[in-house]
Amino acid sequence: MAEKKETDLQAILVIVAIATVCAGGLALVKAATADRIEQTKLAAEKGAVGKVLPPNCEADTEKKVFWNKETGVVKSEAEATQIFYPGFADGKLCGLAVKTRAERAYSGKIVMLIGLKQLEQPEMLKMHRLYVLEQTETPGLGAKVADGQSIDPDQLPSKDPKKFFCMNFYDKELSKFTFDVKQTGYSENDVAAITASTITSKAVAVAVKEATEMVRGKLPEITALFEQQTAQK
Amino acid sequence: MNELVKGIWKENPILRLLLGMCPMLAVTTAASNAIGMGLSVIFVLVSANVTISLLRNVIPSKTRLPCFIVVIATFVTIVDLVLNAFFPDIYSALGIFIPLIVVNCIILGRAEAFASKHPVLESALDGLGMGIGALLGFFLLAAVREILGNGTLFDVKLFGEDPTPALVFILPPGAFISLGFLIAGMNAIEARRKANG
Repeated sequence: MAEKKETDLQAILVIVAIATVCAGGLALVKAATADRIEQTKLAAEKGAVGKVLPPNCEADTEKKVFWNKETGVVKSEAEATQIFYPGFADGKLCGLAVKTRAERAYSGKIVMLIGLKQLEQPEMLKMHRLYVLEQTETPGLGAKVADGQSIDPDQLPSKDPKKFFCMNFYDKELSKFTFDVKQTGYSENDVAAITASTITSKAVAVAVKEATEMVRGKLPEITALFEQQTAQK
Repeated sequence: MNELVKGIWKENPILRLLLGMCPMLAVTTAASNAIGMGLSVIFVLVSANVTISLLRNVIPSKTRLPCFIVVIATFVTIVDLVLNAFFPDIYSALGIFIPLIVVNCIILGRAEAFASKHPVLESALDGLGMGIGALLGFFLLAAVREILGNGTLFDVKLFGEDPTPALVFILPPGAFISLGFLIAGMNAIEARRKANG
């Protein structure tokens, strides 16, 4: 270590120089990995779309539609509040994956996909699954929001939504679902909150409620978008 | 050579010096996570030790700790970006514990106690030895926890299709229990070695 007569200015200059070189190096590494990170993220998103759609309903991520809850269809992801990915069986629309986000969870935003099925009538609409794409919640607490989601819900060791938060949204009829977040005394149509993570649980429940209510309200318009695309093809 | 070997047994950062306990207990639920974390720690330790040793005559003593942290944080961010780009499963499993390598006492400890006072080659060997010691510590603990708590090792089922594993081992209490037994085992071996001269 430099023990000679050091002035404060020298000390500041050295740390600034080290920080500048480090920042430059990091900028290079970030530029070199940015494309790959984006591709990895897209691949994960495509895989998750397949997971939240019902069985035998094939995801077609090329036909995604950017949607703004105020203005309807928009051109880019930046303008969108939701993104819809359709699923088809024998050329017929059989499911919808809705990408949405909770803006104010405990540690920031949570991006998630909600799979919907039974699109014939708004009253029949059902949630199939929930999948969290991005979250920065506290490990061991709010991060449990994503526990068990990579496994087929029927293969999970427990169906209790208190143990696996994703089970709150598995195969639930929207017309009966309350979205009430409860720590105890919850029914199958309530949301069982993660212990000691009520803020996270509520943020997800509110985001799912907003997105699904919007889809229920605009269901004919949204399904028509994909039926038109199929007809044009 | 002593610089390389001491971190593996005599001064093993995990099982002898008990440094970096928080990430160790958190990520050792599966052997693959332990390997990912161990390799990340080796890369950061060697790179930070080499850089700090090279700069040891330039870094002012007054601001040495901020300088060390800047260097360590740079290498940790490189690990974070590379894992995110090329090993997304490990990146997602290790989560917040990758950025937290910045404040891991093994790394800052070696920078302060060794790299800032020794030449480059010795510092690199010290970082490598300590890193390998940390990797072995992570792996041993993770292997015990995964085998007993999940019935698998590297996701390979060891006890047939329908085992009844002791779930407690992949939960936090199992981490402490397993760590206690590993440290006791290591102490017993060391005591026997000393007794035999």
